Amino acid sequence: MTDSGIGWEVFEIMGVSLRVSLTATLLATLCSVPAGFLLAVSSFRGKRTVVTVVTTLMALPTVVVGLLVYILLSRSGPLGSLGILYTPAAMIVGQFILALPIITALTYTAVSSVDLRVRKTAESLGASPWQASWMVLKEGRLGIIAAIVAGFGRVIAEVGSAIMVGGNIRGYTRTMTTTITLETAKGNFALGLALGLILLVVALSINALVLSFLGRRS
Amino acid sequence: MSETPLYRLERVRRIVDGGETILDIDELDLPQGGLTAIVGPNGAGKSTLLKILAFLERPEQGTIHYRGGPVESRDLVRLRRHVTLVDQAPLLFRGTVLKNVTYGLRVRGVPSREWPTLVADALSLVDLSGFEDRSVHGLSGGETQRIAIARALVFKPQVVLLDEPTAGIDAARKEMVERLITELHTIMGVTVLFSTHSLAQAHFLTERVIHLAGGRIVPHSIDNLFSGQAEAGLVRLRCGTTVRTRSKRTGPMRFSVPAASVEVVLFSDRDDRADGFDGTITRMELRGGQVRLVLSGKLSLRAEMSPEEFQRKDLQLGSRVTAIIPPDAIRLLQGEA
Repeated sequence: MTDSGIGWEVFEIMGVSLRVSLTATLLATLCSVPAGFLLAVSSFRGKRTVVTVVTTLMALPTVVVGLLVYILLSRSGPLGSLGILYTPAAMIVGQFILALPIITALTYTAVSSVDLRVRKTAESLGASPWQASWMVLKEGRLGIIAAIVAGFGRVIAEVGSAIMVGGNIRGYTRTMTTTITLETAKGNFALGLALGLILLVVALSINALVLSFLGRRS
Repeated sequence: MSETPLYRLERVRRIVDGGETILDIDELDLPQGGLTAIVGPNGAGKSTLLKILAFLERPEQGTIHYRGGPVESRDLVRLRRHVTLVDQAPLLFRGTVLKNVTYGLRVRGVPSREWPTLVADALSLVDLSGFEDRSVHGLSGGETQRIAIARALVFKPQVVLLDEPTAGIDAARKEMVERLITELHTIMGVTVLFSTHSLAQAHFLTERVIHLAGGRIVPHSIDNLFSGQAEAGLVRLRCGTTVRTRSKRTGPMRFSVPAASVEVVLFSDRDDRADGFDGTITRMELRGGQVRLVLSGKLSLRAEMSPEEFQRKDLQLGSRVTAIIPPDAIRLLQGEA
């Protein structure tokens, strides 16, 4: 990164970071919220084990995820024919896997803490099972949105998977975190810190937006 | 030919995890358009019965007929739209009163242009007009109860089930809810069932009273209550008697009888039509300007009356008497002996 091109390039890097992380969070939300909800409202043999596994996966190291995705997507891997290694798509896959257990586990907690009478009350007022489930989700929405924000926070800040499967290609797969790693390795600590601050401001802005939305709704 | 009852329950048993039977009803018919009170102590099965009638719970055994047809699992969602249950401690959804009261309309797909009139009517019924935009967080317990009733009435259900609707609300509001129960039945023609602890309230509002104890329907008559295999014990209260019984018919029960409610007449003056039981005055004392008596017979009971009444009835220690207890004076305390 040259001093002259820093302004424009930072915006470009920020764009890649947001595009990759928001897409991964969105996809993970579509899978994890229903999964967390079902886990909370259903009862089956081995449920406790499933919850324990999902909760444990919240601490999944990003480099392990990066390695797994790399093995899957590399030319000789089972999904090598897709040819998406070292592309933003590969980074989305990695971040999707990282966000999945976080949003699932926190959605599970949020829905589990919704008063059991919500479903019964909705049903007693004529709600179908789907309508009653939707009401339970709505009553737990604060916790569910917090789960999605936590998932986004996890992936926007991760570096291990992004660098392994994205390759840190300038103008293509370079994100805020991979740039910080690169600049720190080059000894540009001030630039690394500045980028870190920008990353924090971006995360803060998104959280502030969500919280202001929640404030208006509740 | 007799009219088909709205509900018919046959050999209905609700068995919870662990095998305990919490409701055991051999047969029960509930008429269309009727007003029925379900009276019983905590744990008697009142709420369970109401949930079954609201199609929110299915009994493990037995059959339920609604409007003459058997109720199958696949019918539950459709039937729930005819019936509504207001819980003893109702839960309001987060948000405004309007959001709560319109919920039943939304799930039924009632066009939103009809909502304002329906909501205003429902809130007016519970004396809470103008509460539409209030947040549910600021409501008192009584207001919460009444909003829950408005929410249940807004879509004009055919059957309204109220689980202890006057529990925890002040006397003035209690009267309002009692008036509403009567109006729902008499003016709007809705079938209403409500549960209560109070026999007096039940008899005040309706002639059709179902007594539940230990999950079973128990006989109404005082005579029946004391008859059969009952083994009674006496716990003396300052102003009355708590009786514990255990009979094959009713299972374990505990109820109280205030001393002032017990009418004592000489055995020779008794009216054969009245429910009562016989005993002997084994103790008497004058305290607080009242004559207090202990009557011993099949049961031991405390009675209380004015000295004038005592003299007029020509009562003495050792007199053989009949104690008459009005049904609404008996308060079922709990099913446990």
